[in-house]
Amino acid sequence: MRCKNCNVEIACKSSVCPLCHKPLVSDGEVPFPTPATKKILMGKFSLAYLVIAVIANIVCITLNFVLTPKILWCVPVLVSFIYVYYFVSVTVLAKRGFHKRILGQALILTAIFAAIKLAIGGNHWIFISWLPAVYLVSDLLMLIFIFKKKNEASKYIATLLLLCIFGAIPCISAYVFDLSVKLPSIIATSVSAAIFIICLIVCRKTIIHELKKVFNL
Amino acid sequence: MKYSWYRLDNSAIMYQMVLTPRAQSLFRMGVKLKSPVVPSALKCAVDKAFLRHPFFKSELKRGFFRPYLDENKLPFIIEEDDGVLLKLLDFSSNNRYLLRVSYFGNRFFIDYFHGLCDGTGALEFLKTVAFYYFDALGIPFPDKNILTLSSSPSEEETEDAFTKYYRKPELGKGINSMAGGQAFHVRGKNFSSTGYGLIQANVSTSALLDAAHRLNCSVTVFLTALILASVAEAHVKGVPKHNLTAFVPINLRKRFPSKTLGNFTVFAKIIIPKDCPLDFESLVPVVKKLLEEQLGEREVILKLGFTSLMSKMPLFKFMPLFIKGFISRIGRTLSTPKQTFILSNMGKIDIGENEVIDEFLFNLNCNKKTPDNVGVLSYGDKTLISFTRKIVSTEIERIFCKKLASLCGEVKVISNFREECNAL
Ligand SMILES: [Zn+2]
Repeated sequence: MRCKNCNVEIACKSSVCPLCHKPLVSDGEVPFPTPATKKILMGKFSLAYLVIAVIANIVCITLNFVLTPKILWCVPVLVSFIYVYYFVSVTVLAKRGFHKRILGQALILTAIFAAIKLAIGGNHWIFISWLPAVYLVSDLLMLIFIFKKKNEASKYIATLLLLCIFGAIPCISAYVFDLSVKLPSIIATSVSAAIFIICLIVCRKTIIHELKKVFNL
Repeated sequence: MKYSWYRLDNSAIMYQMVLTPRAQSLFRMGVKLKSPVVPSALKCAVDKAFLRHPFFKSELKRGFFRPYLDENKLPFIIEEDDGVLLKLLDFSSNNRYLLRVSYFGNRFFIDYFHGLCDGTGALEFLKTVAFYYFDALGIPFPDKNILTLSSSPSEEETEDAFTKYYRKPELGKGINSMAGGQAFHVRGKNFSSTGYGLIQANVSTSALLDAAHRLNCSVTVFLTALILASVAEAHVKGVPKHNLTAFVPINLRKRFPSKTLGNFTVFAKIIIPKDCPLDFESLVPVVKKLLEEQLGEREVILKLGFTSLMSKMPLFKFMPLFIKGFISRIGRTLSTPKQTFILSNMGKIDIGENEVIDEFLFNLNCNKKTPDNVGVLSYGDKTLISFTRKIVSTEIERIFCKKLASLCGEVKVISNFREECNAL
């Protein structure tokens, strides 16, 4: 079918000219499918969450400074909002590798514990028990994950080693903050160190190969 | 050759660094067959093509200084095309491949991430897929100019040609001119969601060559001038505030003896002076002169050097990747459009005669800053000129096709009617 207005042959099935959009009668093929449309939900969730978080935090900060200015309890509230957002959008919804989610969770929980410790102070139980527990559980989950995917274990070695290096944090913090009970921290760091050393011995060739790739050697 | 991992070339690094979940540099190549696509044969063909081109069976990884391509051991999935042109690659559902193979009716398409390869590399992979598709169906198909498993993949096919053929450019004035000034920007209402509009004009190659020869110019010059004139008629009122600028990719494999399937392309920048008349006949000699200047040896070496600059300067070389990415993203956000449009002419595809392939297809990416780009390729006596657009208006395409019909005779047009679907 020709469009006289544009002086071209319309070679696909359509009731209007694709160039000038004037009506025509055509019986050509359908070259491309018509796409389905879908609504984007995540954008709306982010916006709603941001609004609620901003309002809640403004209220908390105001109450904190008016009622109990000596204890900054609004900081844990703020970091909790950040953590919930991270947990939903990155750990649950984003489809990244499970090994990266474990590492991400360990690091963000460390950051949150540090924020709580610095804001509230004291010889806090979070650093004595929770922080070592996070690293012990993370090490364990990572080992189970790699064991399940042992055919492609080389892909996850770098993340495991990184997690083990961060595994030094509980022990360092136990001595830096001079915690009253240091044993859980020492156990967590020792487990990380043991995994690190075993990895270096058993997977030496794979690690060298991965390092070459990462540093483009 | 045992697959290990590949260093990414210089331009690929740029594509990777500005890669976000919402912005990917993709382009599409495809084949229109004379009969409906058989999905099982296509899947089989892609798997065989991966054996010949292990470079394409890869996933993108972030190194400390540079990204790299690592072997992807997960299965590759082909899918039915859903009509969203150059839809973003979903790395979680496609097993982290940097390409997508889809089909609809008589056509199958391969959408490539530009960080993996340029048009030439993409075409080699596509030809191999087409060859093994007919092989799977038991249809005899010549292997002229096609890389098949009768030859082994060579290291030259995956080399970083930018680094290999790098020659130190003269710094100073030349480098400054590489960055370029702000170009005239086509404005209009954008499609709000993903998926671009496509208008594909089909014209006789011999008629197009005759028309170009009558004006004593090449097909690339002819089409560039015609699109510039169409943009001017559709969008320029009076003297434009910024120069109309066409970017035309130059395939460096024609200048240097590289067989790389990765990126090895730089852009010729056709910057039309503001005082130049913007009708087609006046633009042809101007575009011809400017393109010849841009294709000069000194200019090409300068462009090659500029592209390689990042991996040669120690400051950039040893800067952690995340910092490079951060700087690049800021630069990209703040930068003004340097081109009005891109016209990429793949030239003539010569794979000998056959009775089964009707057309080859080539669609460029586009974005808000460059909302209407053009891909051209010829096969047999058909030249396909494909406009990919982000804006709703088809005015540039309408003016272009009408003028093309008056110069070259019959023009056949098809569209994906993006402007009519609900996702507007
Ligand atoms: Zn029309």
